[in-house]
Amino acid sequence: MKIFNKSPFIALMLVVNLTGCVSSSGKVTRIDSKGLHDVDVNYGAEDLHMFTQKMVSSMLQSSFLKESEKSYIALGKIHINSGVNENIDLNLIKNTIRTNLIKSNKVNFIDAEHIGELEKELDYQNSSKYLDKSTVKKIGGFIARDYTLTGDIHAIKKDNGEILDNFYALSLRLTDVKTSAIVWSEEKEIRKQVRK
Amino acid sequence: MKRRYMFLAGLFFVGCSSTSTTSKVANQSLSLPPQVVINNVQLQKEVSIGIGSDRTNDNNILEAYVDVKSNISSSVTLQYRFRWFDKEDYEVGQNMSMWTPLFLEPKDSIKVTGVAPNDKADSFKFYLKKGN
Repeated sequence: MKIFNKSPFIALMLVVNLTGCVSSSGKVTRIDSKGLHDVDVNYGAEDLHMFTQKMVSSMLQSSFLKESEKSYIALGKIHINSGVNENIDLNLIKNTIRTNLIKSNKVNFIDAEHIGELEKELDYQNSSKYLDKSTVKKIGGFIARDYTLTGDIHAIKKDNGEILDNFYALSLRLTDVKTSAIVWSEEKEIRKQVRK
Repeated sequence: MKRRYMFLAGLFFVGCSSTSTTSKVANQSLSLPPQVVINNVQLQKEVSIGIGSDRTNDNNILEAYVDVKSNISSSVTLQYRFRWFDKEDYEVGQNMSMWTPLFLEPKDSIKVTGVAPNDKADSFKFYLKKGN
């Protein structure tokens, strides 16, 4: 302790150093998941929310909803452009859009991604001798889809050494299975820049 | 030495109290439509907000229109957010209520459209704040 009496400067530097260590130890902070908290120009949660909000709002304004009484939609593929060299979770985009559309009470969704599992379950129910027959679901009750939701995502990245510029575009379309007509389509663009 | 510290402390407290008084007066003097929430007093002066008549679209979903006009002679980046409430004033569709960037040119105005997340929404609030 004598050293602190001799040199207050050393003591001060020690305190500053220790404080620095505490603040850089990675304190976790809860933040509003609906806020814009960009940490870099790459694709992030903010972009997912912006894409989703735009697509769901647009569909809820679309006239096809009025014309069709609670249609059955199935998720198709969202194609990712070969220029996209970062990890964009397409399933998360599709699931978030589907969840918010289901919550709108305006459309139904077919669980097309798990249709194989459902078929297996029905086969099991109808062949098993261990199940109470009164609870067995009959084969032939699946509902055929009215529409398929598909889309594309593109990204253009530019880096001139000073500025990093990322552009993302998501386009979705809803195709009538009966007629092959596209009954709804929407596009959302996002552009972000950072000076290095 | 002691007097000097007391003088500095005095200045500090005077500074704090005068700031809070100013913001209180500014808050009272600027009136916003009841659906609009802007917590930044400076921003309240920099923009004018007009609420268009909301309507229920063909799908029985509430749509809201808000005019945001810049009163300043420089470009500004803002963020806005709609929040939706049912007849009992419970919030609906929080997942579809995120902050969205809004870019305004000098003295320009822009019409912002909000679409409720479902047909339960009966009213809305419009939040505006400064962007990054």
